[in-house]
Amino acid sequence: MQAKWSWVKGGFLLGVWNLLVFLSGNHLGTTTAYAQTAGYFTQFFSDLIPTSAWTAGTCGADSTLRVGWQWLLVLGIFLGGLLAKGGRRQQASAIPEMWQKRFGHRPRLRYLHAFIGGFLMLFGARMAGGCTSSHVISGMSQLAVSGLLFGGAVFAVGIPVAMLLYGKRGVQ
Amino acid sequence: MNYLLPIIFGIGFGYIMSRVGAFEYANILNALRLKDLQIPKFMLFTVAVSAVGFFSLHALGLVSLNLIATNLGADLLGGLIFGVGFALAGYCPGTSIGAWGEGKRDAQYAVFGGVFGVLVYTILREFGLVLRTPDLGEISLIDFIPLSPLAVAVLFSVILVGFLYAVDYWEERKNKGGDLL
Repeated sequence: MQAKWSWVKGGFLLGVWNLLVFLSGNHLGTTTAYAQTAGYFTQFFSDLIPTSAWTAGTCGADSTLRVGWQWLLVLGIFLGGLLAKGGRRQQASAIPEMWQKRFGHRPRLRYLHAFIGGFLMLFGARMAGGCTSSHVISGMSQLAVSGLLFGGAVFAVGIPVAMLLYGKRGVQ
Repeated sequence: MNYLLPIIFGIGFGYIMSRVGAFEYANILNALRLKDLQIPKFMLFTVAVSAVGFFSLHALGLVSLNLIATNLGADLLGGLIFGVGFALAGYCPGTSIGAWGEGKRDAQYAVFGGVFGVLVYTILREFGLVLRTPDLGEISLIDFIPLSPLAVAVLFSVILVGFLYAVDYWEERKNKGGDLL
């Protein structure tokens, strides 16, 4: 098991890394990549929804549904996670221990929670125009009012929902 | 178009977040339950470092602001919906991808759910079923405080870091079994 980095070390490194992204003339963001993926698949069935509806993002200038800057960034995040674990991926059925202690060993229910969670997050993020990366990391670094509002709203509801899910005492 | 740069940026983000533990369901849920604030401290410290750095580079003319327009209704309502999903999934849209890369199968389902969420949102919006209130424009705190942008950023970050260390001190006392306050 690798030693976990402290919040100061991690935050400093990520902050500096984020500055390099700013210097390259880009901005961190992941939601547009989700939208482009959804758009890419939808266009095979219908062109009722214009391409611009999918590519409208906060950080990229890609106006076509292709693998662009944002999508490659997201691919990199995937590879970063893979590399940090030294390429040793977990067993396919592994679900979080903490979740199991609360809800039992029910992988399908866990996947359903994750799916619904993902659904709501991207629904909300598209409504607000960004997610944790673009609103919080990128936006709040520029002291954007939108990022501060979004971040505040996420925690204002995330905290009570998490407490409800795990009860007052719950598992550690 | 340079294809290598975004991949390298992404790998760095993924690697750092993985090493800090941001791709762990338990760390996110325990943060939301206010039991272990490592991840919020990490995120906000990132913001503090980034803000001072960004406005320093900005003062030198090396970077320009790129803000997401503020829309009171959309930002708050979107954030509230996001928050419910965040507590259920235990990942955010970015960490879902990284956690999937780590091999977490539930994170993969969060990504699938996310793509589906965008699909439904976009369809509803295209058919005019999502109310949009007018934007307030691309506004930042620097527009409201009569100081230079860099001074505002330094002030913001100093207050933020002071707050983070106070939270850290409070957490350490709590973990030692002392009183909460």
